[in-house]
Amino acid sequence: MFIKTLKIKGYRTFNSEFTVKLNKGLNVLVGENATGKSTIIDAIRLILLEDEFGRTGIVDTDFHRPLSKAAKSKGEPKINIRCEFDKLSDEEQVIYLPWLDLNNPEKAILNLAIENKEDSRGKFKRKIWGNESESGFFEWELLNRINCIYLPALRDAEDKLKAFKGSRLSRLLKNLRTNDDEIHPLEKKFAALNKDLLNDESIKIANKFIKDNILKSVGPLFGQDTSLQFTEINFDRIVERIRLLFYPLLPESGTVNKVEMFRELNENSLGFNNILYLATILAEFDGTETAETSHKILLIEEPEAHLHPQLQSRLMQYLQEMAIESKIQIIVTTHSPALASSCDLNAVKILSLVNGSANPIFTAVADCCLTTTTKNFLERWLDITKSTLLFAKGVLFVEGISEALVISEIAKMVLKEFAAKQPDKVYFKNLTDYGISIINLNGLYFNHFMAIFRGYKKDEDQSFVICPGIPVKCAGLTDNDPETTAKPTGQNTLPGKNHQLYLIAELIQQSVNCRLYSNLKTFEYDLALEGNNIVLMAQVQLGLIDTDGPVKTQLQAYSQKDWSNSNINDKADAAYFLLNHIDKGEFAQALSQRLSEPETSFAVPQYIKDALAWLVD
Amino acid sequence: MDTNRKLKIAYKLSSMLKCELTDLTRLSSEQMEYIHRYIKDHVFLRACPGSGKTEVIGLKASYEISKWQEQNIGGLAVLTFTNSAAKELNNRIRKYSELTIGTHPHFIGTFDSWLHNFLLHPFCHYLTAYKGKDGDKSIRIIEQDSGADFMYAYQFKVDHKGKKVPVKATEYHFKDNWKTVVGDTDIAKSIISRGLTTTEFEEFKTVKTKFIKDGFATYSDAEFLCCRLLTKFKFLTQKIALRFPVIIVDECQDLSEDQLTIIDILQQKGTIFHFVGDINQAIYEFRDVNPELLMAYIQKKKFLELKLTKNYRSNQSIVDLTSLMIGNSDIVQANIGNLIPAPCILWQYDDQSFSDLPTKFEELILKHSLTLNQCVILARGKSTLDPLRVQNQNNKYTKIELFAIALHCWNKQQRNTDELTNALLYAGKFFFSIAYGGHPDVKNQYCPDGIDPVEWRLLLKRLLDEANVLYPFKANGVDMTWKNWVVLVKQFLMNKWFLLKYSSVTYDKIKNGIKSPDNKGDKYVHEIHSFTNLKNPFRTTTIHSVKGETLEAVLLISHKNKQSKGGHHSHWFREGNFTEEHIRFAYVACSRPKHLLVIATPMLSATELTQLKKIGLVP
Repeated sequence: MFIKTLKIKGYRTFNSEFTVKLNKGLNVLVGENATGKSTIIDAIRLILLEDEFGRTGIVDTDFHRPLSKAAKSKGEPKINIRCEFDKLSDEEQVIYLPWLDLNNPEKAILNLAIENKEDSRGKFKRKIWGNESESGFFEWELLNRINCIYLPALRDAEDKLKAFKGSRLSRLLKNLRTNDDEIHPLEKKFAALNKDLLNDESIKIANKFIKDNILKSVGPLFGQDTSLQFTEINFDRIVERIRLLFYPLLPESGTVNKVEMFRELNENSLGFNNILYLATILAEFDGTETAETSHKILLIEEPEAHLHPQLQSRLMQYLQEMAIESKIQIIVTTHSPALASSCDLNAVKILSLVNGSANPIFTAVADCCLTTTTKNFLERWLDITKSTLLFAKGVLFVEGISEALVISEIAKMVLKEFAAKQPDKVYFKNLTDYGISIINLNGLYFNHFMAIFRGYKKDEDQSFVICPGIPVKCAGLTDNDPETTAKPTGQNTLPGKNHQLYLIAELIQQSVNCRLYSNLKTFEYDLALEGNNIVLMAQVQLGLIDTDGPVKTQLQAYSQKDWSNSNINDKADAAYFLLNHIDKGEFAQALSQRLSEPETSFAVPQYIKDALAWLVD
Repeated sequence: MDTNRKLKIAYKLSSMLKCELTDLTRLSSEQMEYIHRYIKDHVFLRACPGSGKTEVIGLKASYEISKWQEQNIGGLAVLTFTNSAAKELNNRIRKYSELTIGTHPHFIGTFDSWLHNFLLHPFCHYLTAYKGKDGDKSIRIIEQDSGADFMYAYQFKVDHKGKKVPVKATEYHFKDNWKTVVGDTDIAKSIISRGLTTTEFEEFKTVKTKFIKDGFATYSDAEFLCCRLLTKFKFLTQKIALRFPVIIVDECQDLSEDQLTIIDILQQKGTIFHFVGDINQAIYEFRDVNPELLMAYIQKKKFLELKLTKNYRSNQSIVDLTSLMIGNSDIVQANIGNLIPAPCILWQYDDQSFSDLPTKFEELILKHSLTLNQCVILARGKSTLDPLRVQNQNNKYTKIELFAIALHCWNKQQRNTDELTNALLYAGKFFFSIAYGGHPDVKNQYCPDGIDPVEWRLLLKRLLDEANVLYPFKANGVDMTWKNWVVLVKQFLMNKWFLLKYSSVTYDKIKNGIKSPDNKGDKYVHEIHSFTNLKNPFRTTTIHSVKGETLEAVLLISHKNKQSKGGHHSHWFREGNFTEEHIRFAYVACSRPKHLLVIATPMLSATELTQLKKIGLVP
């Protein structure tokens, strides 16, 4: 079984009932800060009584207070958390019988309610029950069967791996002990050692000194006998003294690292200590493979902490494998594009803040009705830079590197222009302030990428069906791409050969969040056609040419002309010429540099303005 | 069983259980046989009174629990019928087994609590489509005699003997998939027994359906609903049978027809049942318990019958007398000697001497140095005992009387727990009935919905404390009549009404309801506790409530009137006919004492006297 849905109400960020859908195995929660990722994790810890937290973890500020209310005002009267498990095996159906949903025996329900009323000991009254009825007794043993382990975000792995009572290592070792009744070999060895110790001359002398002094100080009536021993002779105590050491290199095959080579953890890097800690926890899960704990849940906040990107990806793959192999439901929160880009897309759950909505919006990529082709495509194409789209408040998709480089500069100009036109509205200075990411697709893949956002799918019969999508505005800029030799103008548009153009109309018809915008020919051509842009663009290109020749002469001519009132076809010829004599990447680099200089004036084609308006308005 | 084998088993058990070998060797062969027996057969263990049944079940359950496989996903259920019996079983099993705090996955408790916790509460709403209250779909169990106001919504009128008689949904229940209706109160029984018209039957059904759909049920309804649930949701039955592959039912003679149906459904899905009990102690006919049905079931399902025939409780004279009562020809062996030469005594009383019975009994007890609190005065019905009781349990007080009794109990010198409990209970009932609506929490002093029980109790305490001017029902040293006292009560209520938090009613609305009990306006209020002057140091109770107990001495009082239903001695001792429930009642009463049994009858005729002498009673 696994947690399929979690419903949270009145807890921290969540006012009205908030539903989280989870799947078997790995779940990756992404989203900007303060969207409630940790609250989801804490809700699971609360209801499953994860140690250290489940029993006490509530303070008065955990009860939801709307932002409109004063910070010290009393929150919601109640916190409700409801956990729905699914796919219970035949055996689990018998075990969790009182929690079963009779309409669907594979489903079980667990509820927790906490009242916003402190008793004299400062505790909040809570009630936990299975299924739909609160009466009858609650079998705590059922809850104890669910083994929930939590790893906090800023974990101090070194501290946790030290030797102390209740340490992770001692728990692992105790779990591994199969027969409680027999004397453990470790205990025998320590007992023998103790005996030996007593025969040691220095110990004997020390003991004698102590004994004599006791006798002298309190006299024979109150005297006590003493014995110097190594105290840890009981298994539980022994294992509590065990700690983990490390050596940074694996032994060569067939050999082992020498015991004395191992170092203390404080000499290790934070990142590696983190990994060691995680490995210990996962080993503990392995060790508790008994009937008593049939369901395993691992909650990890930001596993990327202290890890470099490659290690993050490797770790994610490992967790994914563990989730499948050991049947652990793993729930991870992350801000790391590296993690998000290296896991199964269906594991990704996105939390987005949307204006006007009391709760954040929860979207599981798995629910977005991606076709297998699209899903496979995205998984292959989502690299670290592209996966930032999962964290953005808005996304601008572009075809290539030129757009990616130039648009952010152009956007500043456009935003300034918007602000001038509409002084009553607030416009930010650049796209970063809006949290909008420009994602370079390196090709025409708008249909695949927008599939996660668009909120509809196309059925086999070509009809459209509404489905979930990440509730984030997204726009695409694509080239019309008519014949290579074509010189289209505003008066003389030409049909494009871009196979994604159908999306423009489709998105307007069907999608709430997505739009695609196109131009006359290509990005640079359309830029050049606008206003007096050719002058500036020719100057930029001139800066990149070292050789004299007809191209240079031509560009010089362009750069000295005033194009404001020129014939449109002359402009088109010039734009065409320019387009055919630039290296796109190099040119874009130089152009954006030039555009970033203050007081540069540049006219922006309407399709780009439209796209930006869609994203920011 | 030969001694060698017995020793072997005892040794094995002592290694598995927290029980000394010497204690185990003391067990009889019969007891050992059952404890050690492989559990996979249906067994009926017929246990005579005082046969150490509870001890045997305790050991048996402990033995099974210690053998229970960890990977076995279900658990053992040990069910009985009263909370005290359940508590006792729990103690025994804990004593011998390794159970720590909980009993999971095993269950030890009453049949009802088992049924309610594993079937009724979690699942009943799937059957009844009850919408729930604040998301809680638990069923509320309503007592059969609930007089709560909301019950008027589930009341209808039936023409009966020329009158319109009100019937509440709590007064009857259905069985056989709504095909049969059964009365649970005298009036409902009487109406149903004369035959219902189709319209009437439909009316019974409609009202009951509404009651159930609104989330209520009586205990009988609960059993009926669970039967339906198990029939309708086959898969649930299967899971329950796996969850409880073995169920031991203690006091199996108390199984009702519906409970037997539930057992049968589970038995067909593979649950193994062990019935332990004594058919001769079946005294729950009023609850639809018919020992013949149980016996038929045991035979039909070919339960293996084992016996415990040694009586470890009573002396031989008492054992012989009880054997004669039920016509048992087997010789039951007593295991204790006679402490008193003639321990079965017959007394006769008349109207004058009746109230002296407790004193007379006390003298006898002291003479033989028996422990007073181990001796009990018993009768079949409450009416026989009421004149002897200090605590009148009668529920039919008017509102004002409830308040008077509450005050009386509250202000008692050296108030004991019973008096404290009663004071709060009656006060709770009084204040709930005048000031609140909705459903009270009967278990918590009629605590109204939405009030914390502790807060409610504290409120009652405050009200009782503040009402000191109303007690002890005197004005200037002179006893007050109800008429005069009511005036004071009204004044008190008016002044203190503000204390009744969350009440939606104003004092003016209810003031007319505060009045003297009918026809008692000129009577003295203190008469309500006049019976408390009676001297009776004994626990004085009905036969039902001592079931399963071991006592030192019993005074069993016959009703003075032959018309009393089963309460007269002539109903108890009948030659030739042993199947009547009355006999089983007397049997239960007479088999309780270890040392002394006194039967008190009204004045006897010569024939009656001879007959009673014949069975071993000494006048």
